[in-house]
Amino acid sequence: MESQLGLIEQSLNSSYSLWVREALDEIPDNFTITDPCICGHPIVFVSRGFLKMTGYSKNEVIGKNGRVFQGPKTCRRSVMEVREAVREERAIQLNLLNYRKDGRPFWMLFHMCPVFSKEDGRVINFIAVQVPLSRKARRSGSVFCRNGVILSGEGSMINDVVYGSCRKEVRSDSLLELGPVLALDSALDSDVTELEIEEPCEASDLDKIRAASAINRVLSVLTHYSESTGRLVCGKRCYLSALGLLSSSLTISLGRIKQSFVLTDPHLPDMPIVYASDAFLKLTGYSGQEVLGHNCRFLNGEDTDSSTLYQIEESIKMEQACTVRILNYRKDKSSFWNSLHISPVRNASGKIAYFVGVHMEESCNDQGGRGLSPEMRQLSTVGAVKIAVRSSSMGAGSSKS
Amino acid sequence: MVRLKQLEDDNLLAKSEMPKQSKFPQFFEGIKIPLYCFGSQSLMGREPFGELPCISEDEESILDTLLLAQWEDRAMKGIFRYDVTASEIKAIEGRKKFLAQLNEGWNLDHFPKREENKTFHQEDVFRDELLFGIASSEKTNPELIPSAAVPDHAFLVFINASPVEYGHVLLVPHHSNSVYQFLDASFLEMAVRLGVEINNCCFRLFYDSSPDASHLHFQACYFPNPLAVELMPVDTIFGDLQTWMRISVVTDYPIKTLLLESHQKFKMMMEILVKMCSFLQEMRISYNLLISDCGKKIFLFLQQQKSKDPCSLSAWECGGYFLFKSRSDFDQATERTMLKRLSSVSIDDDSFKAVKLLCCRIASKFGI
Repeated sequence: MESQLGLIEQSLNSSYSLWVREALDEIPDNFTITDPCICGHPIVFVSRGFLKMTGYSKNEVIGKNGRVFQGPKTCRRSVMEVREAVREERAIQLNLLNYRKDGRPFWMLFHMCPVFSKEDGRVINFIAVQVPLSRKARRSGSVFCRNGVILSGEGSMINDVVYGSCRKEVRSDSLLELGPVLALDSALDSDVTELEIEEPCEASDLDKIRAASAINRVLSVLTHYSESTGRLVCGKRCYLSALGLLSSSLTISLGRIKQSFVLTDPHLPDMPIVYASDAFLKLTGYSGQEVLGHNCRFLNGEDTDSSTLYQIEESIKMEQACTVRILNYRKDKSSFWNSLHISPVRNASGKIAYFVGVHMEESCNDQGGRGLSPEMRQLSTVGAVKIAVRSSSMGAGSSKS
Repeated sequence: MVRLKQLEDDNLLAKSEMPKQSKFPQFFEGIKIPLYCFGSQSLMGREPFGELPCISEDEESILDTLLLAQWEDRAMKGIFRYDVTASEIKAIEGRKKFLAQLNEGWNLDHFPKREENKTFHQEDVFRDELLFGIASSEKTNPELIPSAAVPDHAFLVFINASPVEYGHVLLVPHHSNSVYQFLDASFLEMAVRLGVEINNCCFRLFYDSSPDASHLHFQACYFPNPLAVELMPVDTIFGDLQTWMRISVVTDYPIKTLLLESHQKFKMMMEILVKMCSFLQEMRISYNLLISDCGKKIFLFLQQQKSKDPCSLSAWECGGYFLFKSRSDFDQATERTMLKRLSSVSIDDDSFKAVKLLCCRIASKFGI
């Protein structure tokens, strides 16, 4: 798990430079930043406000998935909606019941949005802002602030269905006009009453604006600091996904599969690796950057049997699965007998999208055991990858209403 | 190929036809299968019911690995009639997010009749289609015995040679001297437990009632995306989830549907459900069950029983997943036609009112 922590540490630094944390720390809102490219989709940054609100310490939050804040009474449908938004790489705003460290639940307005790489349109991070909801804000159709300005009248969203209306994305352009309103929002922080947990509560317009403006504050910091590393990011996808690039939802589903495997894309020249599991990197000694974009042949060496390679090539050509025993080499030049299973993997259209190669070192007889043979683990990995690819390749584009 | 109908005909299920305990052992003689044993821990106290579904996937599930491995193994051996992952799936345009699959090889009658006079399967065919068995054990933790004789009290997991999705299997109870005729609490519990221990949010179990209850079995598969019914809002009509169980009505859905959920009084929920099902049978209402969310949610779809047309909708169709055999039907599928298809089989408002009442009455008898 050490490497995992390293990845989390590096996640922000490599995209936004070392100084970004300081700037993010100055933002008063409650938010987290997650990295979908790391296995488990962990939180890589957490704001002070968030820690104060939930009662956790920083170390307890970094590296965790956002689900740790959910509990038995968290609405499953809402969780599913969030998952779907992650899958479709879009923004979402809804009410969610979360839990503090001491187990006390609280309602909050959850606003999440993706951060895209300007270069290739890949999702680099997700920002998730949480605005705790108070009964006070909900009860009043209009909200009075200290200076007596009425912020929202009949326009409040009290009658809106929780899951319907909140989904619309808040456009950053429209927020500029609301600037003066935003200055007042901190006035509402004092003496908030806890809501009855049983009844889902609605967010006021003001809550929604607060969430959206917090998102914008974080986004502008990230955009600014991404300039210093040359890896520019933005809040809107500005480049159609490059061919061969995995969606973050697929990366997340694949991350749950613990075995050693790679995905290669037969539609790209030289069939490069587009995904390599942590266990594969551990087995071979390479880093992700060293293998992604490369053909698997770097595993071969002088004693690798060429007839086996031919056999693999043939079955790929025939779009068939095959199992071989092949001598492969690690980064440190040490060799190992690789029990390799290769299988075509189809997407939701039924077309072959990738080939999965499950690599297992032969001498490791006892792969955790529990009655499962290495062959079973190998085949179950293929099954799990097939399901993951089939699910994440569906939806976008076909179901927009 | 062994299809369920064959199994029935050949005594796996239909007790009327067979002299008990005569033919059964002979099928299984010498056959060794992987046997998964549930731990003795009861379902009721189990942690998973307090946790969120779908996302507590960190720990490896032996059962999930076993099922995927065995299924993929058979897929590689070419036992299935087609590669289901080669069939196209899409979301039908509209608000409900119905899913459609184009599957030219799928057989509408999911259990094709055996050709007459054909002698019963050779042992190896049988072995190919039987993936593994599930039994209970005295041990605390679940375990997998890689190779065991088929025990007497077990549930057998067969592939469905015409799968509707990846991992499509049939779960058939196997007792040599008694045959399940009706859905009872222990069978239901087994099915739900399977869902819990597979612990994979894609995995769903299905049960279709039939007027004569002749082939009692569950089906199950991995559905890549949430089914339409799972995304629908619900109105609670009985209980609440915190104290024991909750019964809700799925609103704004074309087929009348109840949702049962429980975090703690799990066994009780099973008994209530079984009781309801037997009443429904008496009321001549067909029903289907969909177990999703790692065993935490049970949807109960209510269909009219039409004497003329016994082929009612299957549980996955009720849930919003439709298969099309022709490209043109697939391309032309609209939300409206799907809504119509579902609403045309649904029971009417009055019957639903009666069912709801009955449901609450049964539930309240179990008392809090």
